[in-house]
Amino acid sequence: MNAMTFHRSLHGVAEVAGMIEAGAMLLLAGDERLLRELPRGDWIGGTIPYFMTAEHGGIHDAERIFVARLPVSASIAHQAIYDADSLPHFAADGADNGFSVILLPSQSPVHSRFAIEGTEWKGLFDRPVVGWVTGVALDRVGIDSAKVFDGRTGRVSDSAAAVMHVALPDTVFAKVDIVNLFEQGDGETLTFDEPGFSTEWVRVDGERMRLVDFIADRGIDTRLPLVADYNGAAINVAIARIIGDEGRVEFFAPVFAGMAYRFAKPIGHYPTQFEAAVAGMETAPTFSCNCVLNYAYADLEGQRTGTITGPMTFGEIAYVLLTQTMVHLTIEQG
Amino acid sequence: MGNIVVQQGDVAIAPESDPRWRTLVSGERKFEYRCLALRIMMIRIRGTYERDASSLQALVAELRQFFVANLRFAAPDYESIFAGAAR
Repeated sequence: MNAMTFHRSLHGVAEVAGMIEAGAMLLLAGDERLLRELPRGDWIGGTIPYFMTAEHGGIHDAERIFVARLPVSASIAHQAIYDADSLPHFAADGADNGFSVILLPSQSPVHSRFAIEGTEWKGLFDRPVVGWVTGVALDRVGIDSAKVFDGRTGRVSDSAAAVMHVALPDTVFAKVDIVNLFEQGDGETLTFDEPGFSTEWVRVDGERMRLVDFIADRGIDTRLPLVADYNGAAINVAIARIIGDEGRVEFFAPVFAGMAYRFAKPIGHYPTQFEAAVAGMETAPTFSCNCVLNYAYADLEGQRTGTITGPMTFGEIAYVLLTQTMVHLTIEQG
Repeated sequence: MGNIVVQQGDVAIAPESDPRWRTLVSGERKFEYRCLALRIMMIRIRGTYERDASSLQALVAELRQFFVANLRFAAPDYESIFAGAAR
């Protein structure tokens, strides 16, 4: 672990409060009750109780907070809560050299707006953008609401985004990338006429039919995502649920008109393949997160994904909203 | 600003008037982009151009700005594009 790398681990509330009071700059993930106990300071946080940790591997923990500490040479250029009207302009507040971390509450207006419109926003690609969609325990979906926290102001929101714009010294720069074990399968090409988080209709090799019928006819395992090829980057759209009586399919990220999707090929043992995929990484990530669906579908509790740690989230962000994907940000010399 | 050469370290970023920017936006030349940001951004840029060809100049400016802002990790892509290594 180099000098610019976060120290990452699970900590109790008192320990995290001590870090904040000592002036540390933190990215936090944990249960809402814990985050509400923290003092004001240089941190943003989001709700989620699932983590990939160095100590335990995958773990569901509602009593400790996952801490990612910014390197001391970094500074916070700006930090704020952005609502659905201000979020499209968030990039204007970023540092000339640095990166932005964005936390979006699941099922919120900023979640859907970022996912569908984000690539159109001015300045989105001016610097690395990473983050995640905050969530709740899987057995509390529909009961609890996901939250984000701005530690500087003490604001908590279930409808707006928390963003930290981080500035870096000129001797280093940030870089973001993904690890996605899924790749397009050999099945038919699927396209959609409209963007959105749900659909009734799909075009299968150009022929219009109901997606629920396609899934049933082909015996699709809906734990496998739809995958699109973004100039060599495999971008997933995970299936959230099938609403049989409405004949609709809901997604955890939007599909887009004009993109060609195929259902993914099945993968083997996730931890083994993941470890192989990250074996060539030369720089330890400063920030990383992975998807709670990978946690659940690959049964990652108690298992490790190489040396990669972070929250297991309701959506991952690397410039755009991703699903069933690991996002990592590294700080490179030069 | 867009029509002067910007020097970033050892690399000079070509001005917007360089015709190679336009061929990227229009899709006349295609590359296997290496960095994630460019892979994603080019999907949006190409899609916008396909819907509205009159946006060409604005898209050229945006693409060039990407390299000005991110050259430290996007330099390999810039160098392959401007070395003419089209596939």
